Amino acid sequence: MAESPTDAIVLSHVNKWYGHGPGRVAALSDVCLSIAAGQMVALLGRSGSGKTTLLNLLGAVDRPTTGSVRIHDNELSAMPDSKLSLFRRRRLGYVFQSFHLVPSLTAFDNAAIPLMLDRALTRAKRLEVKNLLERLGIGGLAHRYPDELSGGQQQRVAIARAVVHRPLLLLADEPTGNLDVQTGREILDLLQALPRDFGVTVVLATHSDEAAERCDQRVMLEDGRVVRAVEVGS
Amino acid sequence: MIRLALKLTRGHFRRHLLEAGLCVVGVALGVAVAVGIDGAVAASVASFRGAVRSVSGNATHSIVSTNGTLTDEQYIRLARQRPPWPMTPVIDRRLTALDAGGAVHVVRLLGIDPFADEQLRPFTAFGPHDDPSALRAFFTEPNTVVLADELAQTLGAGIGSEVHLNVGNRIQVVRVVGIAQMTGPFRPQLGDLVIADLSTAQELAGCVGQIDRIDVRLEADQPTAAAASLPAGLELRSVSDRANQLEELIGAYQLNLHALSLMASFVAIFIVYNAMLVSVQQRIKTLAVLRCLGGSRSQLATIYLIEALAFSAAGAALGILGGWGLCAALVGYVGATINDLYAAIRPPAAVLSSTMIFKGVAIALTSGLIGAAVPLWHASRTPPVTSLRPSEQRGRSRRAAWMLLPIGAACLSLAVLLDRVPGNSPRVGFAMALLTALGFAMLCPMATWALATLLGRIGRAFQLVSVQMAAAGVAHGLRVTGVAVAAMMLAMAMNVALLTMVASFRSAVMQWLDQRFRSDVFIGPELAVDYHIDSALDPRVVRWIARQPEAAERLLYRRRPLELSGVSTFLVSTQVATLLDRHMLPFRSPPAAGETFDPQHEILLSEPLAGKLKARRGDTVTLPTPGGPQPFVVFAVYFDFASDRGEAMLDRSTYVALWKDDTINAEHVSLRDPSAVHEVVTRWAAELEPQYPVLVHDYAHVKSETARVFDRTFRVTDVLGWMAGGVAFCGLAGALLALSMDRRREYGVLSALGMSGMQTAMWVIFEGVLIALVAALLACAAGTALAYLLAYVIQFRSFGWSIPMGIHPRLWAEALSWSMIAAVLAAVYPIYRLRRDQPATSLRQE
Repeated sequence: MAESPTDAIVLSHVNKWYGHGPGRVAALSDVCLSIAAGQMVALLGRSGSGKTTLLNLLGAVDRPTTGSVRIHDNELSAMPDSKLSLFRRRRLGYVFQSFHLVPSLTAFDNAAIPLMLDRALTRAKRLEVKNLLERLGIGGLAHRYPDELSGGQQQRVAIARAVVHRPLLLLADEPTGNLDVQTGREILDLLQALPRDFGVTVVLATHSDEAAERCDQRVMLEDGRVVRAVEVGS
Repeated sequence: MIRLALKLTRGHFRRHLLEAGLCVVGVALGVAVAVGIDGAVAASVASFRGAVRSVSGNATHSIVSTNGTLTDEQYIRLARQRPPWPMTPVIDRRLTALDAGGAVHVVRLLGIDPFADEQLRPFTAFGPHDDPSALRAFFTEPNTVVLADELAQTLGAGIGSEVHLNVGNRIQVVRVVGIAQMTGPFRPQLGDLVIADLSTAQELAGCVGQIDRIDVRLEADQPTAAAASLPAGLELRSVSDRANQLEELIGAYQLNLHALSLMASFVAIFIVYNAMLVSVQQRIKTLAVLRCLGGSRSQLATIYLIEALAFSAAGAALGILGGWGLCAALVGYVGATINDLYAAIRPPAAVLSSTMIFKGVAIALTSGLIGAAVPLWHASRTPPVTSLRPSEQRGRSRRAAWMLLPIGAACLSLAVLLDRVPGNSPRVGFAMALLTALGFAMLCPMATWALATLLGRIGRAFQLVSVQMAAAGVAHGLRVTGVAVAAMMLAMAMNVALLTMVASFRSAVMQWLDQRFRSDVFIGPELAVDYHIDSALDPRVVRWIARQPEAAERLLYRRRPLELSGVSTFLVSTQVATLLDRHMLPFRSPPAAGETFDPQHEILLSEPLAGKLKARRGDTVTLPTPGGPQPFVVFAVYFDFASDRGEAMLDRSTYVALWKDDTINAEHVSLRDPSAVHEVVTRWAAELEPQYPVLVHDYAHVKSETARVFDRTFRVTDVLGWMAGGVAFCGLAGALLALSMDRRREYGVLSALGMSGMQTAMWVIFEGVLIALVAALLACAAGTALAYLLAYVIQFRSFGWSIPMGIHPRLWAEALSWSMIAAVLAAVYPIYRLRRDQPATSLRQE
């Protein structure tokens, strides 16, 4: 795929292997991909096709075995661990299928984690977090613990956490996988609004046709390879 | 079901091997301390018993004097009555012998009548059978002895050799005419024997015309008749009574050590409880799923019962072996302490007895079953829905913490109330200690929650996310962290209690020394007080000192063993009026204001003896004097830390008049010019030491020697302190590892959200620090309370004497520092484990 100057994400010849020797498993093979800034992209494919692995590489929570991952001109594969942490903290947002909220923190604290990690939770930012939770429809639940919330409410907290620090890229791994149809639809509405409201690029791994249909670009993975990348409307 | 239980257990612990290992080590340490201490004390007592029984041979009883002096004439009068039982006179003393290199060895002089003795002691039927002239020499020549084969080897002596014996105030040279081959089970106790004919032994021991006891062999129906046949002033004692003597003597010491071993067992219970609770908590969802799939409560309980038994078995095996090793390390210290303070014993050997094995297994099983009982109940009783909902568990934990608060307070109040129970049983003291430990343990969850909440707020205010996360994690996992804090707190409290008691005792002893030994120069026989050998100063030395112009005032001391109303103690005579004038006696019960001491009718008692006799100021105490019982009024009771056997102090003039004994054991001299003490000591030592077996020291030396003996006495507590530290560390490391591994996914999530490696490390460290901080703060309070109980209640109730307690902030600071170091060290492995994985790997844990 040709690289363009507006591309926010560029993956070049990325390989990811697990294990060594004859038992080695190739999770991704020679993946090349470019994603423009402000787009919403769906990663599609069957279970085990490499969607989550690709998402983990984009989210800088795992490193490619070979190849290059560039996000807004930051070469992730060459970054030391300390810089990767900082990059994740300030430039990325993550929404997980099973929410992954910290059970010992309230909804408000969970949403504010990226700011707390950066010691940036000022009085003004507190208000922003509060407003964000209000905007996501869970303002009244700010002091509840995760296990006191429904699945949809938890996913809204997770989305708040993913955007509270205004990231460049938001990654979502099966964000509606654990939700009923109606709640899933509401969450997709929220995600779809993010590029417009926050100027963030959204990459989501999904099995859902409905989610895929809402995206600007669809990338089909099969056995760790990109077999098709289609821009909607092109 | 058993198969499923085993599979679940195996699968769980394959993933949590280190936590399981730490739990087993914790139990093993608790078992090792209890087994090691008991083993060491038992070995020492067995050594003493062996020593008594071995030299007693076939004798079943002894005839002794009630006033301490038994003469040849008394024996002859008894022998003339031709009693139907065999009997033989004995001299039995501890002396020292010099080997060829000049090294001093403690030996046991056994003076016997070879003809009468043959019936009672098979080993004295020795003989240089191949040399009749040597045998003849033993019977006819003075200063000839037979050595036990082991002693001959130690001294490098053979037949015909000369051996130097240090007896009282002089050195006696004896000739070896035979080597006795000691055999049989008592061989280890007979290895230090110097056997001499009775008259030779009397000369060597400086007690011509006197014997120490008469050994007799009585049939089962004869003791009453034998006792009835004795004239006034003599009494019959069984050998087993004498063998029990050491246990009575070291009662206080033994009690303190047993208190420590009890505490170690108690801590072991908490370690198992902690580990089992963590194990339940880690599998709470699995348990819930099993319940949902139809698993019964008893089936789930079986899983944990098997685990508890496995922990116990592994802990018992390791602990018994460790206890054996600890016993081998401790017998030296315990033996040395008994030698320093109570009675001469030969260094005992550590043996792995069936009692030790039984005790170790019993402690491990009890710890395992009691420790697992609550988690087991919890695992089997919790409804599946509750298990799957952390908020329910969190609410229950906090409610439990609130509920435990008044229960803990009630335990502490009950402990205070128990102090009012009359009587002198140490059991009350032990019950108080147990309630205190339990009370503080129950305060732990609430204290943990309170401090975690406080730190969480601080972390939040200062945006210290690691602090905030650690505080939230600890408060959230209160069910586990509360117990971990309790386990660590108990182990640390045991250490703080020990150190507080030792530090208080040490400072009290040093203050007491400063007051009691306010003289400048101290002169005593070379044989010192080691091994309780009654050594005297040569009269020429006494006369020489009297002539010295530097001497301003001399205190002459005579100290001898005394049996007083069945209590084995000491009689001390000196110029009491001088001691009183110079305020050298620190009083427990001072004399009434203006009251003067009547040297002929009054005595002073040390606190330990007053406690044993239950005597107070103004009471009458009857001393057995050679002239018959003599009543004395107790003028005052004074503190004395020289020996827990206590002492009765009599004015020297009265003692000399009643006992007809002007022997002097030691002199304390005050100089006209105290600043010249160094020069005087140097000159006197140069003058006296080459000519006489005497030592001249200044006060600094006496103080340093006392400190040396003191430190050796309490070195056993160092070992226990390290063990307690190990137990505390195991508890902390286990809890921290469990917490960290339990939240691996959280770390993964936060890493994905940008938490740095340093922040992750600080999170784990702060969790450890928080647990350790609560434990250390409560341990300081609990440890001080336990030290007070040990010193004032258990000791005082049992033995009537106390250790003045002090507050030692230095020890608290040390406890806090060590706990912080332990927290950081315990965090190392969890940090490594967490940072080893990529965040994606941690996220996959879900």
